[in-house]
Amino acid sequence: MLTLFSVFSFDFILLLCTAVLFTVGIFKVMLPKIKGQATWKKIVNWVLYCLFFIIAPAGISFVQINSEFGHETAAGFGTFLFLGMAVVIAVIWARTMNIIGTKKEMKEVA
Amino acid sequence: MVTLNRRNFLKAGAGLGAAVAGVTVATQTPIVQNIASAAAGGPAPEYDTDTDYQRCENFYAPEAYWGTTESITRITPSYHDYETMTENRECKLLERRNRGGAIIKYVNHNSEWLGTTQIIGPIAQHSIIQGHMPRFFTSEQVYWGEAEAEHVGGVGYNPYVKVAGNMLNVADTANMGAINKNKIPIPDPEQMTVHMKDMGYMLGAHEVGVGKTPEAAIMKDQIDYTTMELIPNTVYPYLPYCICMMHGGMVESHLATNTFDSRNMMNNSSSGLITLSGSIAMATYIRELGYNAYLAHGRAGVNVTPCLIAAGMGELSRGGVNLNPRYGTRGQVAIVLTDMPLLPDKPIDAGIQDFCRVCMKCAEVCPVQAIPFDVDKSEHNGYLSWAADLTACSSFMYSRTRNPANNGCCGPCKTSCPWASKEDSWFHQMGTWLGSTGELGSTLLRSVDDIFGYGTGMEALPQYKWWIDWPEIYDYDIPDGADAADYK
Repeated sequence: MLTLFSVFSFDFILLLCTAVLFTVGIFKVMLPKIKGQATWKKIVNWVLYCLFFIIAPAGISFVQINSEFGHETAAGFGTFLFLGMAVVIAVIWARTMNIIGTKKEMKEVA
Repeated sequence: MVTLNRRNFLKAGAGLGAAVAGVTVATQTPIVQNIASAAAGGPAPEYDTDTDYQRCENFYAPEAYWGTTESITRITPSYHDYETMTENRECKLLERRNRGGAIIKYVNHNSEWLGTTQIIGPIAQHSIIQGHMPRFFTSEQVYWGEAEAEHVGGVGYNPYVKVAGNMLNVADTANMGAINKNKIPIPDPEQMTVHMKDMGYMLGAHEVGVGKTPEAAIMKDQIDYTTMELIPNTVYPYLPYCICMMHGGMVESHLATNTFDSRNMMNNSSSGLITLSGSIAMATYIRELGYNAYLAHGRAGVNVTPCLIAAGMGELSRGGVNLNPRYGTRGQVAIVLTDMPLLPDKPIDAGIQDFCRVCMKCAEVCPVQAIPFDVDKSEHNGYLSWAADLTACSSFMYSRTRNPANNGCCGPCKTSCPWASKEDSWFHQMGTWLGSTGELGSTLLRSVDDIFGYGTGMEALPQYKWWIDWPEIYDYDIPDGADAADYK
């Protein structure tokens, strides 16, 4: 698979960055914060986490390739579709992981 | 006075016998055959008696052609060792063909099926006079007159057209090349097929396939391209194997056109010239090995679409031409027909029949409605297929020859096809995979293609337009009110 990419190609760099961020995210964010959560929430979080790391790089690659070849409609709609989906997934994931929205919950508890 | 006694009778008999034998031998020599043929008003076959090479006869003298090749084809080839190829590889240089992500199943080529196209009736051989376009169904005699003559004869207005025309003349000359009378031992058919595919890739082709030549793919008439006159009572030779070389061109160049400008000459001719030069080299090489070879290019007497299907390089599409899983309909092809023992590939089923049934994008963008909207196929020249009106298609193209803004071109059907005119990227491979899964996947692919704005048939990216139209050399008046800049 690695032979498909030249070392300095955009796709290779994108893949490398994605792999690094994915791994770092597991050890620095997912594993510490997922402890103590309900099982269904763990599953949802892992699914959302993986889905984000599929859709976001795919969207970036899609937009980059279509921009490079001059497919304006595809690049524009791809930005809206892929990156929009990635942002929505990221927000839901951050909420279920209690990364955002915690202050509001604390106020309600208080 | 000579008395005819027993001794003189025997002498006279021997002399007469020797004379008859001498005349018989003499008339069988090539030089006398040439003279006799010329005296009979027919084309004179040429023989090179000074070398070990034998002419592949004058292209317009099929009877002589057959006469000289018959003795060659009956010789059993002698094989020699050839390093075995690693299994599960297409050939030594390429692991497998680029199928663009499509799911490929292998199907048969027999009397009932040509790949995924069913044969339900007698198939008429096409006449070369039917024109330059890829013909698959039509059996009627159609000729488009002066415009086609200029176009096909390479007498176009754009200098690039003349390049293509000159190369076609070279190809015609190459078809009269010499066959080595002393056959060189070759590997067994499977290894030889691998070798020829490797050679095709080395010569610049993007995809190479070997097929069993469909008999109906051979044209029944020949034409003299210098005068554009039909040569009566002539047939093209049938050679059992077809080596097909396809070049997909550069997608950037295809994206640079609205398909009505000089696209045909610039994109198609560029790719065509690569495969044409490759086929000239391959045909010459095969003749050097001692086998018959005849290269078929854009204007030669072979219908390329059935050959491509037989070689597993695509399926018959709604538009009546071959649709390759990777290059769609934009691949340019040259074919070498040969009697060298080869192992033909199997035709493929990439799901294109299901896809074409539901897509219909090419039919929507065709400016002359030459591509039908029919859901079901019907019989056309023995094939169960969609009824593409290639006469209307070709007539429209040739009617535009004198226009500097198009140079006899039309091709929205090519650029609108979701299988064609796409860069080789992961998401287009996903798209063709989706399209090859069946009618549901095909409908999805068609919808996605529309949503992302691909394949409108009119998209033109000017940053890739690398050619010059040379409008000053055209016999064409810019219409009143039109912007002259549009014609430059």
